[in-house]
Amino acid sequence: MTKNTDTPHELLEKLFHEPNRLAILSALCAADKGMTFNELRDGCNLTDGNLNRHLAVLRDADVVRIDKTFVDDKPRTTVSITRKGLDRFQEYLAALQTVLQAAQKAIPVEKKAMVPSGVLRAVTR
Amino acid sequence: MIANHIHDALSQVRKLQEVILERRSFRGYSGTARAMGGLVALAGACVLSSSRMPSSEWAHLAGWSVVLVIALLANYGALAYWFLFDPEARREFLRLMPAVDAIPPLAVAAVMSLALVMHGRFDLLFGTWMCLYGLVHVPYRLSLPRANYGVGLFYMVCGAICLLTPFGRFTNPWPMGVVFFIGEASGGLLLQRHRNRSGE
Repeated sequence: MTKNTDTPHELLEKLFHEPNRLAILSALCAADKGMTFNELRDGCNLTDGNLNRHLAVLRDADVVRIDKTFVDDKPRTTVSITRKGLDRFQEYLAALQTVLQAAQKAIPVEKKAMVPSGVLRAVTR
Repeated sequence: MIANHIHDALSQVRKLQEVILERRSFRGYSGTARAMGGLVALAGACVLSSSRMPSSEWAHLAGWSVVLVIALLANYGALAYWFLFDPEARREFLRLMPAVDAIPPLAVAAVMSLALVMHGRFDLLFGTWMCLYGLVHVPYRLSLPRANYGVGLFYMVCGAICLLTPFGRFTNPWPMGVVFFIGEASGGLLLQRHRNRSGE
């Protein structure tokens, strides 16, 4: 499938371009050993139902793996990002970077001048 | 304001990309084992260049085979130890994927070596080994320190020189010994530094 690179926003995968799922994946990609359901829920400020819904979507897309185990006779759900998920998320981030850079170029020069010069240097570096 | 928001978003994206790159880094190889392989290659060159060694190509081939076996045992032994006992590896086969990615160029090297030996083209062996071993570094460009890719280029350049000039004469063990000593010792140092930075 070829994607139109003239419009970079079309490269953004809708699966990840949802604020809560973006938060979930950002947390998971930093957690090498995965995160428990409760850690993820609290870290992303989500309700149980919301998190469950998003995780189901991500699991069906083979982006996350959900393991249910018993620790001290209590059930524990651990969520981790899959290798394929990490690949796709990395591609999404690259596309997001392209979109942001395009947006940055589209800002008129007089508006850029209002930004401290150090910030602009960091962006255009 | 918008420019500030975009700047913040871009820096967050870059941070996430760095996190992913760090997570993808492969720490299964041992810097010590790799450097030891380089030392063994240099020791092999010393032994093979001694006057007591028969100067036949088959004797040299046997000598380099011994060097190869020792280096393989050291490096893959360390990898197996990491896979079995390191908590990071967790005995998950997927964690070994970067090492598995190196198998095709190694397999091609084995087949080409066999073909060259069968046709008596011993003088092409050093260059072929160096070039293909250099190629092994390519799949690791994202999972090992970037400088390791430079080590791969070093092997490929040396291999090309051996293939295209008389330096690759098989009964002169020094080009092989010195190139692999420099390559493996510097590669080993890189791996060790990478591990230390990762807090191991």
